[in-house]
Amino acid sequence: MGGEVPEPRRLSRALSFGCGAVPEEALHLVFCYVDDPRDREAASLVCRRWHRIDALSRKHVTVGFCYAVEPARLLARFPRLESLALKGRPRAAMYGLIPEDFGAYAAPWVAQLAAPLDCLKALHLRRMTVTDQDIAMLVRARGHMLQVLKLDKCSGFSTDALRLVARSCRSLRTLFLEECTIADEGSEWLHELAVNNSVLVSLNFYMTELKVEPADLELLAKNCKSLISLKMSECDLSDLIGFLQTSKALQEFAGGAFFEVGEYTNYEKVKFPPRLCFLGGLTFMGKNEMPVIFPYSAMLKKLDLQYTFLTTEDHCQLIAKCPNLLVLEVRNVIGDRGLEVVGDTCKKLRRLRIERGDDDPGQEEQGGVSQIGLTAVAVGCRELEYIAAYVSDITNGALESIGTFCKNLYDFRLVLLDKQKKITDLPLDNGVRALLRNCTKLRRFAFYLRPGGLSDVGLGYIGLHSGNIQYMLLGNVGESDSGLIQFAMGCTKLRKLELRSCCFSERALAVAVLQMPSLRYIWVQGYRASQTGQDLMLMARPYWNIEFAPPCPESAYRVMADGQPCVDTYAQVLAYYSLAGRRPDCPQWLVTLHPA
Amino acid sequence: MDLLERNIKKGDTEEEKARKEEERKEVDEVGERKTKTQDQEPQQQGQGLSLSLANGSARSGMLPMSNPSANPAQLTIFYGGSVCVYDSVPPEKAQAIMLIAAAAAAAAATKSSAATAVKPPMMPTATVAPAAVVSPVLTRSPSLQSTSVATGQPQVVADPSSICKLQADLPIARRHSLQRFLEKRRDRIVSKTPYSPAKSSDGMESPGMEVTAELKAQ
Repeated sequence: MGGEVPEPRRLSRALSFGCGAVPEEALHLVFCYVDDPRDREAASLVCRRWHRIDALSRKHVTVGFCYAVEPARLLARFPRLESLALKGRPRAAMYGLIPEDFGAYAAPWVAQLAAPLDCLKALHLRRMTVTDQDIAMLVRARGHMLQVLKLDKCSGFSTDALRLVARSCRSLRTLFLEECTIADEGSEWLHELAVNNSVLVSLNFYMTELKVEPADLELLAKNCKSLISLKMSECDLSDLIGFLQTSKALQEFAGGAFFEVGEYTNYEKVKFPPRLCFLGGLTFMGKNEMPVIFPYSAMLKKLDLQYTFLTTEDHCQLIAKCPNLLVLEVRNVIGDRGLEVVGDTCKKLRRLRIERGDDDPGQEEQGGVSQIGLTAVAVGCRELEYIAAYVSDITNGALESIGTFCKNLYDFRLVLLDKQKKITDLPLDNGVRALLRNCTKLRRFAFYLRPGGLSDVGLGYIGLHSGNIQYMLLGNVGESDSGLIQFAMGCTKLRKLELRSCCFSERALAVAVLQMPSLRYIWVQGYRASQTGQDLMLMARPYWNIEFAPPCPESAYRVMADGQPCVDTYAQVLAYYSLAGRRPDCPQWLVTLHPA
Repeated sequence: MDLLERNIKKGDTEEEKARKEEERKEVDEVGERKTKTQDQEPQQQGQGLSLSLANGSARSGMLPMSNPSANPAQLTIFYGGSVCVYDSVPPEKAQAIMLIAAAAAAAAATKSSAATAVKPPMMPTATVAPAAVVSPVLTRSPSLQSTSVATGQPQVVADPSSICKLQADLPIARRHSLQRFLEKRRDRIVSKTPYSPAKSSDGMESPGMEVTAELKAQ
C-alpha cells in the first residue's frame, strides 16, 4: 500500500452518507428494506437526516399500550403512516379480570389521526373501547382508502357502524371483528357489504353474537370472488350449504354449528370448498357429525376443535386422518392418548393449543393432559413453535423433553390446573431450567403453577436463562421476595411482565422492576398489597407511570361488558413507560400514584 | 447471623443502614481494604446503628461516627470477621441485595427453630434518582430504634409459609371464549329432551370417565 494514509477527516467524509454523498431517494429505497422496528429505531438515531427519512418512510407502527404515547406525538413522528396498530386493555381483560370502564378509548386516536394521516389504510385496534361515533369519524376521513379494519376484542359499538363501513369502504379487503362485543341492530350490514364490496378477501366476525342471513353470505360469496377467509358467528351448518358451494376460493372457514346433534342426515349435504385447509368453530360437533369433515381431513392445515363435543376417542380418530396439520387447537379432553396420536401423525405441527375444559365431571370427559401427552408431542412434533397447554399433571422430565426436542419453540405457555391434589414432580426448577436453556428462540413464556410449583431457586433460573424472552406471564411462582429479585436480576431483555397470584411484597415488586433494564410494562394482580400502594413509589422515575387499584370490597360491584359483576376483588398494579404523562381518563377505582 | 453493616454513600450523603448476609466471594481481612484511600472507612452519620444477632458468635459493633466518605455508591459489607468494599454500586442493585438478604434471613429464621433472634429486614429510604427529594417512609421494626444488641426477639417480617397460603386464593381465570362455550353447552343439555334417538357411545373408555354431551337414551 503506497501513498499517504488519508487524513482522518477526509476518510470519514468519504464514508459518511450524511453529507450529501448519497441522494435522498437512494436512502429512501434502502430504508424500505428495513422492516424490523428495532432496526428502524437504531437507524433513526444515526443522524438527523436518517431520522427524517425514517420518519417519512415508516409504514407501520404498533403502539403496545395506548397510554404510552399521545396521538399528536405519533402523528408528528410518523406523518406518512400507512398502518397503525394500537393495544389497549391489559391482556387479563380476556379472562374477565379488568372492569369494562378501564378505558383504552379509541376516540382521541381517531379524532387526532384519522384525518391528518393521509396515507393510512390499515387500522388495528385491540382490546379498546370503540363507539359508533369513532367508526363514523374514521370512515368519513379514511373510508375511501381503508383496506384493512381490525377491531380485535373491542367493545362499545353496534351493527349500525358496520353498515356505515360496509357502505363507504369499498376498498376494504379485510374486515376483522373477532370476539368483539357488538350491539346487534340487525343483519343489514352484511347485506350492504355483499352489495357494495367486490374485493373482500377476509371477513371475520367469529366469536361474536351477531345473527346473519345465509342468503347474504351467499351474495357475498358471489360478489367477492377473492374471498379466502370467512370466520363467522354461530350458524347451523346446514344453512350454509349454499354459501359453501358458491365460495369456490375459500380456504378458511370457521363458525359453523351443529345445532341438530344426532341428526347426521341434516349435514350429509355439507360440502366444503375444494381449497379448504382451515376449519374452526364446528360448535357442538359430535362423533356422529364428524364424518362431515373426513373427506377434507388430509388437506387440513389448521383445525380448531375447542368448541366441539368430541370425546378423547373421537379426537384420536379424527386427528389420525390429519397428517398435514400445522395448527391444532383443542380442549384438554383430547387427553394424553389424543396427544400421542398428534405426536405420531402431525409431524409438521407448528402450533398447539390445549385449552381448559369444564371442571364439572358431569360435563366433560375427565382425564386431562399430563406429562405423558406433552412428552409424546414434544418427541413427535419437532417443528413446534408455539405450545400453550392447561395440564392436570406435569414433571420436570416433560419440560426437559420439550427443551430437547422442540428447538424452534418461540412461545411456550403452561398452566397447571388446580384440580389434582398431588402433582407427580414438583418443584419444576430443573425442568424449566432445561427448557429455557435449550429453547434459545423463545420470546414469549408463561408459567402458571401453584404454591410449591417453583421455588425461589427455580424462579432465579427463569431469570438467569431468560435469554431473549420479551414477554412473560408468571403465576404462583417462587416462595419469597428473594426469588423475585433473583429473577429480576437475570431478565435483561424482558419488556412486558404479568404476575398473578404471587407472594411478593410491594417493595419487592418495585425493586424488581428497577432491575430489569428493558421492562416497559408490568401488570400484577394478587400479591401482598397495601391499601395505599405506598411502597410502589420505590420504582418512581421519569416517564414511568404507576397505577394502582387498591384492594377493596366495592370492586365486587364493578360490572363487566356482559353485565356480569367483576369477579375479582384483588389489588392490581399497572406500571408502564409513557411519554404522555398521567392518564387523563382513569376510572375511579384506578389510582395514579406516579406521576403525582 | 453475624454482624453486618451496610453503607451506601450518595451525593446527598443520606444515611442508611441495614443488615445483610454475605454473598460475595472474596473475603478480606478486617482492616484491609480493596480501595486505596484511607477515608473510605465505613462511616456513618447521625446515630450509629449496629445490631448483632446471637447465633453462637455474638458480636457487637459500634462503629465510630465520622464524616461520610466522598465516594458516592460505595457498598461496604462486614461478614464473619471480614470486610468487603465495593465501589459504584447503583442504588437499585444495592436495594436488591438487601431485599434478597432480608428475605433469605427471614426464611432461614423461620426454618431454624433454634434461632434466638432474627434481624428484621430494614429497607432504606429509596432514592433512585439522586435528586429525588421525596423518599417514602418505610415502616421500621421497633427493635431498630435502639442501638443495643437485640437478642432473643424472633421477629419475622416475611413468613414464607403463611404468605404462600395467600397464593392459593386466586382461582385460575377462564378465557371468555371458552367460558361462553361451556355455558352454552350446559344450557343445551338442560334444554334438550332426554329421549332423542341419539346413538349411545361404544362404552366407557375407563372407569370414572363420562361421555360428553351427546344425548344418551338412558
